[in-house]
Amino acid sequence: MTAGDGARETGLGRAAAPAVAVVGCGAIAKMRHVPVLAERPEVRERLILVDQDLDRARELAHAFGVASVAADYRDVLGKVDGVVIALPHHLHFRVALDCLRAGVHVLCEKPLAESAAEVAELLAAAEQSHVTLAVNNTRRLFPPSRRVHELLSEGAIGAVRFLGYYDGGKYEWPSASGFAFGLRGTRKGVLLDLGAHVLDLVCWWLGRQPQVTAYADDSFGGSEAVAKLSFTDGVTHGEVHLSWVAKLRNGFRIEGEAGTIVGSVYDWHAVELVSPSQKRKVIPLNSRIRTSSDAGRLVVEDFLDVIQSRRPPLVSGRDVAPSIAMIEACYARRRRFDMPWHDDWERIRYAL
Amino acid sequence: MRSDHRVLITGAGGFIGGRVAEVLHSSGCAQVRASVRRWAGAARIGRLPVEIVRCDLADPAQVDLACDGVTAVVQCAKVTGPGSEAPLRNLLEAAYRRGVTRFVHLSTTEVYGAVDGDIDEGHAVGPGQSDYARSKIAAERVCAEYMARGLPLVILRPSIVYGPFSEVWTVKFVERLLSGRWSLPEVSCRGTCNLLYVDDLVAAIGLALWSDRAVGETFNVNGSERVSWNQYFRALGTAVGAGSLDPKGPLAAHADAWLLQPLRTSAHFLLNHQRDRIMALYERYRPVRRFMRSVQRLMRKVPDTGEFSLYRRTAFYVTEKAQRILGYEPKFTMPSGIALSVAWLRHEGYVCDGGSV
Repeated sequence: MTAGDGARETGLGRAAAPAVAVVGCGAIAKMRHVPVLAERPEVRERLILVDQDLDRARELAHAFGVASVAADYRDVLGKVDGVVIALPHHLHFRVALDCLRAGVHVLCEKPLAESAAEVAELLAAAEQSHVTLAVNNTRRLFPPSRRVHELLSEGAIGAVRFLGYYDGGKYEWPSASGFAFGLRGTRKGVLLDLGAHVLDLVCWWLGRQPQVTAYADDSFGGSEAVAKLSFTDGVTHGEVHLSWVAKLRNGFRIEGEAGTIVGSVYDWHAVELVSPSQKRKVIPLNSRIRTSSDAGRLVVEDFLDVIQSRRPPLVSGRDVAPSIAMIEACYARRRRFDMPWHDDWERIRYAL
Repeated sequence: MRSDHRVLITGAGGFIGGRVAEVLHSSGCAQVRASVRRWAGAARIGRLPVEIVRCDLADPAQVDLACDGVTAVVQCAKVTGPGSEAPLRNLLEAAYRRGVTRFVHLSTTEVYGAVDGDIDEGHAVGPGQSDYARSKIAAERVCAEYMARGLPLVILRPSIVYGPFSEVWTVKFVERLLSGRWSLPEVSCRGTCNLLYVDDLVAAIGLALWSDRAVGETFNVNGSERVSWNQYFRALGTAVGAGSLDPKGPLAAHADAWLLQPLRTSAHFLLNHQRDRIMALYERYRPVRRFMRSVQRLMRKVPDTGEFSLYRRTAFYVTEKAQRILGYEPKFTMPSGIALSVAWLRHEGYVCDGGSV
């Protein structure tokens, strides 16, 4: 997808470009947001990069020809129409709230917040200030996600009985701050990170927020790297397995009373529809969105258009509220897995 | 309990360093400062409420900061390849200047080269059979310099360390065994395996940290059982429910390994030098994905040429010195080590209940 395609799709260019600030100049800003924003000269001219590490902001600004940098987001709130929040997870709520209260449109990285109460406060602030709260839950834009949503909405497999989603791989995110780890870390890991995508899809696909029935992870007081949960809403039950340690099957399986949908998280060629008689039908996904970068670009371009047109964003704060509540419910019943391979260090106590 | 000790563990994002951090923290015997080169390597130790610092051993300033306030250093970081002595020297220098009371350096039994028979620490070192072995030999020389300068240093030479989180000796073999397509004839695997469960190595590290008699010494660290590679592969395969392997004669297996070597070398070169571009192509184009996956599968099922000599070797690395001086005593047998490893593999999803990856 080219920048031109995006502009046509989002209608950009109809009015003067909005003034935008990117708050947080770490990995996601560098890889996704700033390249898209800086691609348009009229946006780049007014773009401000904000990071408390001013050198980091300057470095990114230099790489993309951006003129303005700032160390504190509060200093730019009167100067911009919109803010892209690309900060460590635990800072999203506080910064988003300040921005919304200041009448600035917000595109927040996922997860929007850490609790249902925080999301409610953000939604109220956005409503009061008449500004948009958009969230970068890009996976809703992934072609398999969209197609599954369509199939379920069309009733292609009838009532859903089971939903399983398995997503994992070795953690390789080039984090600039390592905010999730160490003594000053958030103590919330793969569930809040990857789970913000996965549980959002679960809620979106089902059209409701199921109840968490079990949750366990491998935290020893730090941020979990593996999390497993199960859920139900009386009709559908399901399970989610997330990992930063090992590659999982990286796919999903949705069983309904009239068939099953099987798909891959990362292979966007097709999803499969399996009939009760086990007849498999391949449903091709001929989307222009071919990579996660394409999806990320669309979200940023959509945000620029939303600021000008005041239409709803691709993914709003209200959309992701059920998944944040589900994540909160998981952490509330947090327990550690049985891990004999960990606990067997007792056998070498003689040496310690 | 020695909770007044603060131990810097380099390479804490790795298999051995990660386990050292877990055990020292969980046992409460020391405060842990875990060092990782990139935050991307912190997922495993991030589960612990311990101090984690980002430190590139090539940067003397970062290394000096990482050593600030620690009483001991356990060097588990991977420092191999050309020029690998400089980062180790940075660490030793910082530890020396900061006056740490113990420095434990992890070497390898590979420093003895392609030898047979019972091998103790008095055996000659070298010549190195691989870049890895040559780097470790060079690293031991640098350590010797600092021992001579008075740094209270201990060198440990572990053998084949396996267990949970071991990509090389656990995960890779299980994936190969479960694929059913691995072609390694039994006749090629009659050598001695020298299996060492990771927690036994951590025990040796603990002893090296606390025993005054350890200073200035070098120790082999090995399990107590003399098992062959065939025994290990069979036991591991049985534990994960793997079927029989691709039956191939030694000649055909060797020929496959040699024929694939240029492809293996090229793939490694490209991934090392053009990783971002290749991954972008991988993500965007389905035919590229298919091709790369089939190459990966092929490389997994065909052993590396270097593996044949390892699996034939009958050396057994004796640990009498570690037992006598440190009180080292391996606690994990092959069955118990494999049982824990497979429990972990199942938990992480490497092995499904049906026996497939």
